[in-house]
Amino acid sequence: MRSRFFIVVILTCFLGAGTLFAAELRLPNKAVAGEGIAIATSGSGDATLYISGPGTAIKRQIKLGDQVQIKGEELRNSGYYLVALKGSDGDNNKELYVAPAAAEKINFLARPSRVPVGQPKVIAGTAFVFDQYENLLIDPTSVTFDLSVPGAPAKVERLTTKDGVAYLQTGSGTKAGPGQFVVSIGNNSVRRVVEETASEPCNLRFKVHKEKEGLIAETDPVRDCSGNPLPDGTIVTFVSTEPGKGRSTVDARIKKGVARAVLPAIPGATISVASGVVLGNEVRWGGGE
Amino acid sequence: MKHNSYGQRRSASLGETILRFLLLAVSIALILSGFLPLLSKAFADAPDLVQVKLDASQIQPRPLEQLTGQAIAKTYSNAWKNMETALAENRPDLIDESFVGYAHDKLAAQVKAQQARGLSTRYLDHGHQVDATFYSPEGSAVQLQDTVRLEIQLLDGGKVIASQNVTRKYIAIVTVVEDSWKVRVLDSVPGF
Repeated sequence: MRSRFFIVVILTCFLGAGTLFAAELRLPNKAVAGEGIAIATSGSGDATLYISGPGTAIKRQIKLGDQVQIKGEELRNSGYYLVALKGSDGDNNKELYVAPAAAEKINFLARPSRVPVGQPKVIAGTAFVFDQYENLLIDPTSVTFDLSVPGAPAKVERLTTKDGVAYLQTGSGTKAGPGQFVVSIGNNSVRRVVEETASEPCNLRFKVHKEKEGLIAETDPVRDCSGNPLPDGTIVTFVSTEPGKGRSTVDARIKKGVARAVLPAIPGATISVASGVVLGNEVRWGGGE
Repeated sequence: MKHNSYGQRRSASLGETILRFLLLAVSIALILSGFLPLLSKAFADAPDLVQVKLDASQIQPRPLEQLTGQAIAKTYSNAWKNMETALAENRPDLIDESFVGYAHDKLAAQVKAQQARGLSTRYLDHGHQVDATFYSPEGSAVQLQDTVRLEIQLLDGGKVIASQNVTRKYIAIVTVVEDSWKVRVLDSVPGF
């Protein structure tokens, strides 16, 4: 019984001594992605240093007691690294946190690419902020969103990221045109184009006159309620209701701001115009408007 | 009469022996049933399923639809399983299935570096508590904040060099890629 006790005591002392003299690792208090670090070791003899972490796996033979230099290019990724030392004096391991470098890159999601004017909360932009090594910056960072259409005042919003993300949700303006949606941090910016198009037509009107080929129906310049001309190619529908004969429908595309169609010239026909959900005026041929 | 009592004693001891064998067999079966799953887990290369508990109650600026939430939880669980197997077996082919962009590149670089040095990393994953905190207004990106308990083992030539039990925090960004979700960012962070 007594001999067992002594064995336990001796083993404990042996293990304790082993721990006491185990090679020691001293890591820097602060490490930043892309910047080199020095790892100090204690003890004597040969050892192997291991560093394993995001994007990296390093194995290096070292002399205990020396300071080991790790180059910045070997620690480009932020996050936690396992640093382990295996030597004749014993093993040791520690955890090293590498923080992201300064903000430099932006991933920008902007939607939609085409939107009618005068709509609330239809344009959304989300910015993810990274350093030059593609590490997400979790510290609050100031981000500027700038949405502008030529000939109209720009909307500028300065926001702060939360866990690397900032977003803006805003309405479209009143002026149609190729909107430049730009997000920037410092001198770096990313641009997307959000085409702001005219909204539904407003006050849609047309006139008719007779020509050799038939009755010509032609709209006034088609604009939305903000005065933006509707884009060429927008469909305008003319409907001719003929007494006792049913209806004729002609779809015409806007060309150079106006839509034009040829209809049969039937006296007493009622002609109307519509585009999308908007109805325009009515004209009675042969009986006046 | 004597012969009869001897016979009774003999049959009683036979019964006792059978009963003992039965009890022993049941005990062994119970022990095995308890140990086998543990053994299979201990020797398994990677878990079949990584446990992910997703909470999207605080998400902004738009709510996460239930089906989308389920798809993201499954994507994230598979991503961890693929990452753990890729790092344990140095298999870069597993990364493509779940990762894209920066997260993909970093993992691929790590597997390549491990292969070159004969190292591998084994994760013993004890489950993830994940909060979905951000869902982009246009619906193409979700940010996750993950708290995970892990035992991380670094192996050199199949021999464990170092082992750490840690509770780590990760920020992940999961984005729509073609018709599915993939992990675009997976960075360990000191806190949220």
